[in-house]
Amino acid sequence: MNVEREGGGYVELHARSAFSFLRGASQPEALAHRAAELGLPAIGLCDRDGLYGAPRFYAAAREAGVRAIVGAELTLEDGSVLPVLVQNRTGYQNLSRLITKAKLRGTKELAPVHWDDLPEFAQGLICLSGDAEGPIRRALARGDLPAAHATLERLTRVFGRDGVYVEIQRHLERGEMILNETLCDLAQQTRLPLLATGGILYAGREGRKVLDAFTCIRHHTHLDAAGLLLSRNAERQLKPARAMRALFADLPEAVEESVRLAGRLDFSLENLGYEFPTYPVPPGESTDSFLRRVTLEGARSRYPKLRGRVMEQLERELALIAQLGFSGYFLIVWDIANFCRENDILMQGRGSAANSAVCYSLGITACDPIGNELLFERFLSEGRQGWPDIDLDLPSGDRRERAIQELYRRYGEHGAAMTANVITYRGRSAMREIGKTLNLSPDLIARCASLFTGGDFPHTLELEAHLAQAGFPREHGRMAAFATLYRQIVGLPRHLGQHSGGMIICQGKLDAMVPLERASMPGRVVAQWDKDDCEDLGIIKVDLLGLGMMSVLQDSLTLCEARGRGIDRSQIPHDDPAVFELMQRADTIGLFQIESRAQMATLPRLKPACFYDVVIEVAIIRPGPIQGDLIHPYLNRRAGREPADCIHPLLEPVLKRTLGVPLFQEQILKIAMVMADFSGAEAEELRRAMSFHRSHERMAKVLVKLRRAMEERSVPGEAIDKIERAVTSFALYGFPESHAISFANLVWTSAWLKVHRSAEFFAALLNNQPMGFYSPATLVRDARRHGLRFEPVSVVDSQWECTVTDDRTIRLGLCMVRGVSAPHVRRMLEERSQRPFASWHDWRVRTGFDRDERRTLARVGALNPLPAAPDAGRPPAHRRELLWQVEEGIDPDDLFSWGRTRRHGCAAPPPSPLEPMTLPERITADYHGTGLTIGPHPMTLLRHEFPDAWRAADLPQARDGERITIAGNVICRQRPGTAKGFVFVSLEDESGISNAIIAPALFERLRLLITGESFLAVTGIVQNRENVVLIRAETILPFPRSLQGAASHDFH
Amino acid sequence: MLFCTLQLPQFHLQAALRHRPEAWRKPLAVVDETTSRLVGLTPLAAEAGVEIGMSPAQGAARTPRLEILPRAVDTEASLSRIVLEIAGTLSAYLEATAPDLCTLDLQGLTLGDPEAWAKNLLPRFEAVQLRIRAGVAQTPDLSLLAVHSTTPREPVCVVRHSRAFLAPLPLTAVACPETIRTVLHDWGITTLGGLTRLDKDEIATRLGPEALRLWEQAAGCSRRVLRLVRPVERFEETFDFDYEPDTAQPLLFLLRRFVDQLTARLEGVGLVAEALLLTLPLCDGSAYQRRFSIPSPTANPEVLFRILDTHFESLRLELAPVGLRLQAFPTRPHAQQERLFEKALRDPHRFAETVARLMALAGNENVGTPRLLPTHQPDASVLEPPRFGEPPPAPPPPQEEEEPVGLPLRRFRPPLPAKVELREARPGHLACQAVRGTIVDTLGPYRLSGQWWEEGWSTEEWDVELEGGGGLYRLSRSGGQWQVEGCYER
Repeated sequence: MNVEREGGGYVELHARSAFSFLRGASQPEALAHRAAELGLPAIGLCDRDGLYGAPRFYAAAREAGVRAIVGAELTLEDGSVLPVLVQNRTGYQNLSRLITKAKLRGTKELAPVHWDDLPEFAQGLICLSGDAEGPIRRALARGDLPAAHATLERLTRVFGRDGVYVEIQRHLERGEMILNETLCDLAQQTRLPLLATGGILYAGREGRKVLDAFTCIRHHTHLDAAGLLLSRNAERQLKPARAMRALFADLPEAVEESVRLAGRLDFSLENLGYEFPTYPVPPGESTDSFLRRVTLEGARSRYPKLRGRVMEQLERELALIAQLGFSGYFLIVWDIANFCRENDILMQGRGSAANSAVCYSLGITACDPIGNELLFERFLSEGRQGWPDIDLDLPSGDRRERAIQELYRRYGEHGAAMTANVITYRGRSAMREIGKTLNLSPDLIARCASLFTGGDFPHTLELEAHLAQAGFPREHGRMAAFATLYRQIVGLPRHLGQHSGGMIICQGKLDAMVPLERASMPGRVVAQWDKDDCEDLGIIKVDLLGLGMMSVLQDSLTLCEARGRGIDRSQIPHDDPAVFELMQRADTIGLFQIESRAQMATLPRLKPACFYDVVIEVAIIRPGPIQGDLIHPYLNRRAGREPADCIHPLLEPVLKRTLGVPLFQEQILKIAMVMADFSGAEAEELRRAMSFHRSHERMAKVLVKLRRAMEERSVPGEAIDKIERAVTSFALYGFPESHAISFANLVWTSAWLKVHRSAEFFAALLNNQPMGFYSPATLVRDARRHGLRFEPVSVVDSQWECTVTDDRTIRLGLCMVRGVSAPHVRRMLEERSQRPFASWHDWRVRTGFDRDERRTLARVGALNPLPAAPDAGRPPAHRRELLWQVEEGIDPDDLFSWGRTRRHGCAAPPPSPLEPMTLPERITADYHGTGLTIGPHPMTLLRHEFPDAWRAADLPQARDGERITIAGNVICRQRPGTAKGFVFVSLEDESGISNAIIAPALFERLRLLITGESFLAVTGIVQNRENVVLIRAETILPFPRSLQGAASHDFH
Repeated sequence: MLFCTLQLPQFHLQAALRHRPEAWRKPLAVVDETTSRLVGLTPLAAEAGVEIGMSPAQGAARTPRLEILPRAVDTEASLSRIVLEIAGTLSAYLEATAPDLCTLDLQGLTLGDPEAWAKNLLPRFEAVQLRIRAGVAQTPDLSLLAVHSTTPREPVCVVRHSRAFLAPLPLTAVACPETIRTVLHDWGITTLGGLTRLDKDEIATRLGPEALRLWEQAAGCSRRVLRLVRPVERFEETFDFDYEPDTAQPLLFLLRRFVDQLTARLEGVGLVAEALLLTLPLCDGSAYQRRFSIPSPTANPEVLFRILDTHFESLRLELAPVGLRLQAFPTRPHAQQERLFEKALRDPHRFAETVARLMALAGNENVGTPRLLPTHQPDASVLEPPRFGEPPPAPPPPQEEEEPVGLPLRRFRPPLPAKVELREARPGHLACQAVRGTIVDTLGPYRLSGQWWEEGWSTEEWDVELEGGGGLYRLSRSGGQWQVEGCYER
């Protein structure tokens, strides 16, 4: 790009990014980089009603050598928009609090700042008169010059005479001249300075198209009808100083004023003044001494012999924690952990915190870092700039919400918030919005969007080819515009969501650090920044992550306890042969982490035989090792097919236990420390580069440093290359060993429960859906293969949850029935607890289900067990008999009807004339009503469609290279980013699950068939290696006749 | 008592492929764009596993070769009308049961064997390229069910024993509210026979009066009265020449007769003509066609003929006509009182005649009322066809457009090509057909662009002042070409 570079002379002080949500068309990073290209020394970002993009903008600008000025456009109650710029920290805090006040007062859609709010928060802020939406130009547009004058005076009273600038912009549009002359007159009359700004809406001209599209989306219209709403030209891009001077040749002082004003704006986001809450320690204690006391108390129960290595490590950690001033932080997290323990909320620290003996002693983490020889520096080192990261896994659902609400309670609405999750335009949403914007037919839009069925599967075809596949003719006049817009819009922010568990808290007022707003979920407040933004700016985040499996484990243990065969989780042995056997045969459906197709394909090869093998299994099926091609070397070495290679003799202690293959981040850090003599601080720099997924440049810099250091130490070139490759593989997806150990603990517990407490485990799994890799239908089928028996949903016997009847039997709960409300079920259970239901009529009048719910319950057979009247003299009711009765009109307000009902309580209603449901009808009704069946698998009834298809259970007998057909219900489609476009499809039949792999070309050809059909038959070549069978698909056919089956879980 | 229901099978498909008969041999589907569901399929598409009711994406998944067409809504309406017209020649008692169905009461007709009678109907429809099926039975509902049980091989069904006929029919053969259909599906009732096996009173108690009607229909005992319609009368006269006339005289002679006959028919039913459609089939198979809006709808033959006569004065055909067709579009005569401040045309017919002459001289596309388009493109407008006697269209909703300021611009239409010399990147000298001179002052550039999602346009405008009071002009530059757009009135 031929870009003019020049010195200062102009600072752009009014720019909006795509974080103005449909009012700006470029990422903040793009604006910063473009400003650097154009030689602008500084740039002010004023997004609409928020500081959403400020951290990213700040980081990108710093990297690009441009000063980032913070500001925002504030929507006022009269609809006008006032841009303000931050002058100092007080101004920043005022702006953040002002936005928070408006956001928490208003609704998600409309939260204006009140004019009366401004005086309270004006200190430290500079106000511009605004563009066409500004209060001054709106008054001028009405022809109301006195109002413009009065508004300017009002702003001057609020922000002070040196805090208001009359803003003029030139976009090469007619009418600007007269308007700007009026603004100049106003500035002269009020003796306020004139300020030239660009009113930037995009970094480069190409952003105009996106802006026009966004305008259409905002106004719910399309480009053909938007007319004058669209831009007149493409002149809202960043311009160099020379261009601005030429544009304002008659008003040079307005351009020079931008530089002067920028000089007054002495604030940077690195000066937020954030402080973590202090922990209230007992009198006479400092936070350091108190942490030491509670740590040692905890350590005594963790370590029977509290001396030697253990004591040394604890002292070393405590000293560093005190030196870095983190003692208060540890105490706060300890406090949260205590709250969870006291309130019966299962909790486990994850991530690198598990490398800390202090965390282990405080009961925050569950794995012993000393016994496992974990690297403390991975968690904390002297060179650490940010706060350490302690993430807590909690049971998802109500229990986690209780912990979150406790933090809100303790720190207040303005002191704690969830971090944001920026929802961006992705394949399907972008296709739909762009299609509507371009006024394409709904049908064509639906077809384009359907290319993204099952999640945004990565696409291997070029976009135009894809669109053509969806029936978008290449010669269509709008194909080019569609493709251009798609490429530009994908990845731009769409709206703000909330992170699943990240919470930030602050000593004093969090709303002075980052604007807060209401989340959609009641009772939640969300910050305008995501977790990375918060971390980058030094705001400490505590992740309270909801793990479905934690809920399952806690529920399983509670069920066991209730049934008199309770077990202490910490006492579960880690050397149970039955558990290893289960893993070795990849019988892992429902288990934590190791139930995916890829994990199941690895388990029979890895053959876990000790707990550490489970740790490796967790870590090895990750994008890092897969991309780094580390899986096969590890498995080959383990199987003795190749010798272990520790790269260099010095690395033997580091890599020996993973047979020379670096699988964990700690190993990478240790390699750097051993081979390149990196200090703890340098290792920390390497860690941040590895986890800093926004900067490849940063990674490259650290790699150069590492390489040079190794070369200086005369490490052989071959070893350097291998080490560099290993580090690069981990750049994005590295897994700390401690994290793997924490997760392996959960894996082990879930596996042990599946083997030894299977009824409780499966009941808990079903009660915590949706979660994991498989649908309830597949879980039930797996449980049945393990000898469990399921009893159907019944209004007579079922609770809301699935319950364990005996060691081998589970009663399905009413929570499994779709469309039945929990309050209605609760009412019924209450009635039932008073007195069992005597008959259908008795049940009917004593419960509050509506007709649709009654139909649903009858359809799935839940009403069948209701007792027939004693004189019925006929066999028990079938589903249709109840469906017949459900339609009987009984008006509870009709006294006669009530009386009849009471009588019917004793007398049997006449039998229905309907035939019982056939088996296929029952199966369909089951899937429709509960998503699963405890009857035969639908494939039993459909097998005749493909009589030659192999059953999943028979596949181990298939010869490698043989051509066979498999058929079944599609339960999973997966197109991992690491698989180079290959798609994995899992088919379930009556005997188990078979897997097929589909090449990219075949997938693209049959994309709609593969992603749209619920039953498929796949013919292909068998790949049968080391007890893992996979079919390489050649032809794929739909079933001519289909039944309802389980829903598929699709991943990418 | 007998009724006959005529059905256009594959209605949506027949309409969509009316002018593409060869496409019946392709895997093709018709999609209803409002529901985004497939509503018509060729046999090849059905063989490939595509089903009615699928989404287009599902259909395309079954066969990537599937061609998908939208519904031809206009043609569907036309097919419905043709069926009614032909049916109207069979019976005076007609019901337009659905767009693809019409039911005839056959009372008073001597049918002989009803099946033979119905089979004889088919060629009449084939003559106008329509596939039709017929059902004959004792009640309208039964004849409807009869036609639903026809097949391509057996396009006629005559019901002789209603109970035996009805029992095996699927429940889907009758119209039924979705809620009732769902309950019956839950009950395992799939046929009409299955429904009638249930007690009528129990059905009524449980599912209400609509289900009762359904039961009666399934039992063949429903009696309903046809909602009679009259086929739309078509006011049209045609004539095919035995020779190719070489002057307008014979045409005008015939036209006069046509006009007299049509106006007589219109007057007979109390209607007037609001438009005329003149069609002249030409010797190469093509046709010349022209529609005339009547400014003030009338049945006055003089007025109508004068419009045609005026048109013929300027009509020049490259090819000889081989026929003549004139269609009058009827409407009810309406008398309206002018509003207080609204001035009506003194003689709308004369005005229309003048407009017609102008159109003949300048071309249809060059006569009308200009309307500015809501776009930033300068002077972008459309010509709306002249409207007579209709209130002016409502003004477009106000958009955020600033008030025009400055001097009025007199536009040159078309703009004048010009040569402009630049001095320091600004226009310095202007030369064009009408004006030439040194530019002493400029304002601009003003940049405008738009429609980037299609062909796109982009222009740069300048306001310039020529030396010596030579005037103020607006220049534009698009694609490197300069033009003088107009001059400012001082």
